[in-house]
Amino acid sequence: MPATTVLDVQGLHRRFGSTEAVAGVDLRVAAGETVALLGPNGAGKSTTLAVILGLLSPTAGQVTVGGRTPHQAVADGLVGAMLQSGAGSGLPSRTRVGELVRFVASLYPAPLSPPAVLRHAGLACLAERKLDRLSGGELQRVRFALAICADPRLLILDEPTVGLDVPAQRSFWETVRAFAAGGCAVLFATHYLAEAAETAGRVVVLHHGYVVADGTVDEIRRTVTLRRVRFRAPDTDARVLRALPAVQQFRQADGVISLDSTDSDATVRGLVRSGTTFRDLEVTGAGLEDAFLALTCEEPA
Amino acid sequence: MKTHRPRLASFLAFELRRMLRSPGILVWTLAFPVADYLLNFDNKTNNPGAQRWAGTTWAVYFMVSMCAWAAIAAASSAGGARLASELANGWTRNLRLTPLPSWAYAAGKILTGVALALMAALALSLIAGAVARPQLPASAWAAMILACWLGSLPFAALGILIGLAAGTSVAQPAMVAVVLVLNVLGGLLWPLPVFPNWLQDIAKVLPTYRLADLGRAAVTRHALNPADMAFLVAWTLLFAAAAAWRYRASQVEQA
Repeated sequence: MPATTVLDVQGLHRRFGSTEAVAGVDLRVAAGETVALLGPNGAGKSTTLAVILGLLSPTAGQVTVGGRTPHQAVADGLVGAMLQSGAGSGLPSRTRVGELVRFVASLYPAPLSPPAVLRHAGLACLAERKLDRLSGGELQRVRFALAICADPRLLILDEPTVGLDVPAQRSFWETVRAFAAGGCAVLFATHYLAEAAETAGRVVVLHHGYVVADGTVDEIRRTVTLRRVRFRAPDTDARVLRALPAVQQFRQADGVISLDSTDSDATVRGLVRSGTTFRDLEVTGAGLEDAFLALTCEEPA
Repeated sequence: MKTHRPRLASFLAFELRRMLRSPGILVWTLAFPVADYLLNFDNKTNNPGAQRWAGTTWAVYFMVSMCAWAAIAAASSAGGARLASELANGWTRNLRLTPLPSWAYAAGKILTGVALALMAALALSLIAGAVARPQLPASAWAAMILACWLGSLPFAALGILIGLAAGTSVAQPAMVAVVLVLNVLGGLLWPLPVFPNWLQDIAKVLPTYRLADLGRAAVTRHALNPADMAFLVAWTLLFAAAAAWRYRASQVEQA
């Protein structure tokens, strides 16, 4: 394994009873890289992250964090995490921000200093505040503060902006980007394409427990934003149409030709150049997987 | 590289500070035994009985009972509803993502309970001593407090078991019910000799009776009774094993 790989997931499977939540995920994250794990609910994002953190054991496959097992990586403070906690805060009662950060930092072998943690998390002026007096956005910063106490090499964030309003989301991601600039790799789960696009250099798309795409946002947009080119044509040569630029799939029914294309402009130009006679041309969004449509259309609330 | 001991100490300090900030715990541990002691320590009719049963005055006999009561309530409160809500809200899981090992988490909770029990036993004996002024040598006081402190261990484990086994809404009432029943059957409220024989036989197995008996022996004979200690150790192991089993089961459910 190259020295720069901070997370290496190989052939990961995780089964719950008869359902396979993760069905063969390979994923590598390099030191300092920010990667979004994008997928709809139920795609296997949270399960993958829980295995990476050692909270769940894999049914098959291997996970190493900084070359160690997930448990060892947690014990050595290589990894920090912010998980979803449903309705609960994920935080203890009757404590203050600074006190909680000092306690959690004291558990790690080589922690960031508590004042530095508070500064990075934007909590410096709230150190003496009681936790039950904080807003939702401030509580999220506290959870972030606890995740970076270890001075981790890998930060795991599971849908960290769920339930935050837009300004709180923006300022939260600014905080994450500023911290990641110090060299910490970040792997975060989200079901918003926009969020992935703004923050991550690389996006891994998970669907039904599989990695269906892995690349920059633009690369992924190109591969998944299929368009459907439809027209009527009395005499056609299927071989010519199949050979048109960017065509992925060809269908013909009742004189209507339907072409799925990754670049509909190029396909139409090619169609005109091929000299095929056609009428009633229309270009529509292709029948993409519902899941991915949901991803691309949905903006953060 | 840090060893685990400073982590455990750090966790214990954090837990104790949080517990002592909660006004509820003061009421739950001290209000009832202090009030009951103030109302009943001067009960002259119980004196001959106390002399016969334990060779001491009723004021001392009842002080040991209420001291045990306070220690039991304090020790169990480190688990119970607090633990249940920390499990439900995700704090316990977040702690699993730190280097604090799960045995240190359990040990920290138990030690928190035991430390609170020591404070409760001290507070109660101070109040009782100030009000009833029983003539006891300092060594007897110390032995009684030591007995209540050591004997609170099974109740710290019981609190954790209830916190793990009961949901957030049930943990508090379940805890109150279990502790009340154990305390009353163990003879803390009414002395055991007033019970029918068959009930006395049951009561003598209970950890509450054994804790109070340990305290009485400490006061009257300045010694820790090995039979009481054996029962208390057995109860501790039983509650701890049940809690560990319950914890494993909850991990499987999550997975």
